Amino acid sequence: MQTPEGKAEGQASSDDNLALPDHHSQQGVAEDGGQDYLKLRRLVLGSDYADAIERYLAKEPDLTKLVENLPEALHESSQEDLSESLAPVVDQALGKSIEQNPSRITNIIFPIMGPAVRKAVAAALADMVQTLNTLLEQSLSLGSLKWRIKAWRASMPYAEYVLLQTIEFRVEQVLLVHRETGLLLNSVTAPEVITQDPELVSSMLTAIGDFVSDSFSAGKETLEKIRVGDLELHLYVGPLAILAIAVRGTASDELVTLGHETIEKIHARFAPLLQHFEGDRADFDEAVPVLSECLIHQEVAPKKKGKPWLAGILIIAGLAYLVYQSLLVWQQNQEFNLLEAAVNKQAGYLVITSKREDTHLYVTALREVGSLSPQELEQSLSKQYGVDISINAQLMHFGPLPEAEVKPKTGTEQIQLLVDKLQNTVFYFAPGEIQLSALELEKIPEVVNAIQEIERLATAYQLHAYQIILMGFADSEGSSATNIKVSKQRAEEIKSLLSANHIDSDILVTWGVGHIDNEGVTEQEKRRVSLQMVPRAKNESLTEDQEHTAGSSNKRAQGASF
Amino acid sequence: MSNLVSKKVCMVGPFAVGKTSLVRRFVESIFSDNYLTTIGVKISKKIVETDEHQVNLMIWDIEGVDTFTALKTSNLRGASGVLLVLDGTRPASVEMASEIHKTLCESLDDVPIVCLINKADLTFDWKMDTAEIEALENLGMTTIRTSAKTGENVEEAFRLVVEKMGFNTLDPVSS
Repeated sequence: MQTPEGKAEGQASSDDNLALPDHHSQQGVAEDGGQDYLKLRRLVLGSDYADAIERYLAKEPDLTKLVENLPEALHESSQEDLSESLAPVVDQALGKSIEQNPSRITNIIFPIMGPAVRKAVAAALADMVQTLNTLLEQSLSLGSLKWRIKAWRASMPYAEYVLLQTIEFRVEQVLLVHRETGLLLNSVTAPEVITQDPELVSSMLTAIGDFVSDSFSAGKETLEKIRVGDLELHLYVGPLAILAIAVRGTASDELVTLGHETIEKIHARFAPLLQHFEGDRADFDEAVPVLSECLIHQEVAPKKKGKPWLAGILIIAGLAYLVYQSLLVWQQNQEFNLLEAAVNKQAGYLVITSKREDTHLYVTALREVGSLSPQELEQSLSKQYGVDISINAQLMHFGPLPEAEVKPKTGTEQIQLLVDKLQNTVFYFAPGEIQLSALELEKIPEVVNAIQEIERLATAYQLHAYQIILMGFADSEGSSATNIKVSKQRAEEIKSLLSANHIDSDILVTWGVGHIDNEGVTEQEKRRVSLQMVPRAKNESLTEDQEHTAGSSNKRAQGASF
Repeated sequence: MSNLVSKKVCMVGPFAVGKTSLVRRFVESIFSDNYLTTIGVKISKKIVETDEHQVNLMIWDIEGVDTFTALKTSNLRGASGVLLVLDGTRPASVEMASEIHKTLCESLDDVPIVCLINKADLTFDWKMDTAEIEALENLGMTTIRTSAKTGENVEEAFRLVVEKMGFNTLDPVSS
């Protein structure tokens, strides 16, 4: 509001100036005292003059004129000047307006504030989540543990090490140094980078540069690069200023080009200031944006993303190979199983063992007389299954031997077999029992058959007659008298049973042995009746012989049974 | 920041006259008897308040010179002021000083040079007489007796050079 007024005043004063010649002439006229001139003017100008005077005095029409001209004037005026002069006014006006009617401004900015706040909060949250993610990833992974150890070994902070690992290079600091004095003109630093006092650094850099040039270079060459560990210092020396870029990692060519361009830009823009530099750094505040352009960094190309492709292909190929191999093995196993089954199914063959070696199956089998020969079977099976097979078959006889193969036996031999069978038959009794159990009774028919067969054979081959001694035994329970009595009764029981089955009771002799202490025989086995066959001379007196034979047979029985 | 002005000043002089000690006393207010020779240059920074500006002194402490080592003029380039330091207890100082002064005048045009006659605390060994001081002043330098050990005139010497650069320090040095 000040300015338009000012402008108005300015315009007014210009009008004033326009009017001045009239004023002066008026004064001149007054001085001359000539009325003719006044008259002439009235004649020439007519009522315009009076109007002009009136307008000048009233000023109102000027205001109208101003209003008419103001937009055009504003348009014509330099934007910078205008905004500079308007800024405090607008500022004040805004302040007053808000003071007077705060709700109005609230209403106006409300639609803007909401989205702005939301956006800011969302951005902050996303940032936080991202940081948290990275932190978690880096804190919990195996890789991070490795990095932590490595960082510890390199005695540098973990964060710095992570940065090193993930960033190929990063410009940490950019210094603009006045070449003549070595004084710092300006500097920019990447966020979170701890640096030394840039003023000291810039002076020291100049000193080092001078030292190197003096000591090692006869000409005008200058120091271009310093490398300390993984920190590189690139110096771009212009005639008036030096641009020093501190890079962690290995700088790319892009950065080198950027450095040259920047120092050229600085010279183009600040050459006069650099020439007459008197130590006032404020002149170089405008260099900050140019310097900041150099604060670049390049992240390590994500090599790890590329690798899994190859690894994946390898793994898949490996898996496929394994699957293929195991399929082959499975298939072969199936074939082997079928083959083995086929050998087993083959009439007269029985597989005992089989062994697999590569594509060869070794079968050991038993084979029946009259079955296919192993060679023939091998041939037919390998044709059928396409697998090599070796059959080692032992010729075996299954089941009863054919009649033709049984050798004819003599009568004595036949009798001996029956005698053995008979003598191996033992009747067991329950404790204290003298009667046979139902199970034991079943042995009677066999014994009867055997005795009758022996009788028949003996008659047929005209062999000696036989006597059968039935020896009764008892367990350790009870007195020896009782035991002898019980054992006798048991023998008698068998005798009566055999007699009832048409066995001549004359050839049956009973003998109660009683209890015989023998550790190898259980109590149950002690309660028994065993049979002993002894030959009988035809003309011998039975009773005498019986006594004698019984005694000797007793000895034999003991030897045979125990 | 607007009234911060950086200026380069150089400390020159023969070996072991106490240039580094003077800088340490001025910048860090520390004095140590241990002598460590300066190799090359050591740069320190100190701000001196003047009426209109803060003068940021970049003090280049240049290695001492002797008959075999010439002053490296590359280090002087762009200096706005020079402090030529001498040892008041050493007899041949004046000749050395005039030699250095000559080099300074050749490589710098019209730069104020203040001559510091150091080790003022060693009064018994003092060998600098009035005639010699006059001879030094005749070269066009202002002389001032200093002691890095006691701190005597150290600040004043630096302020003096600042004043001679054309600034008015808040506590002017009466020379």
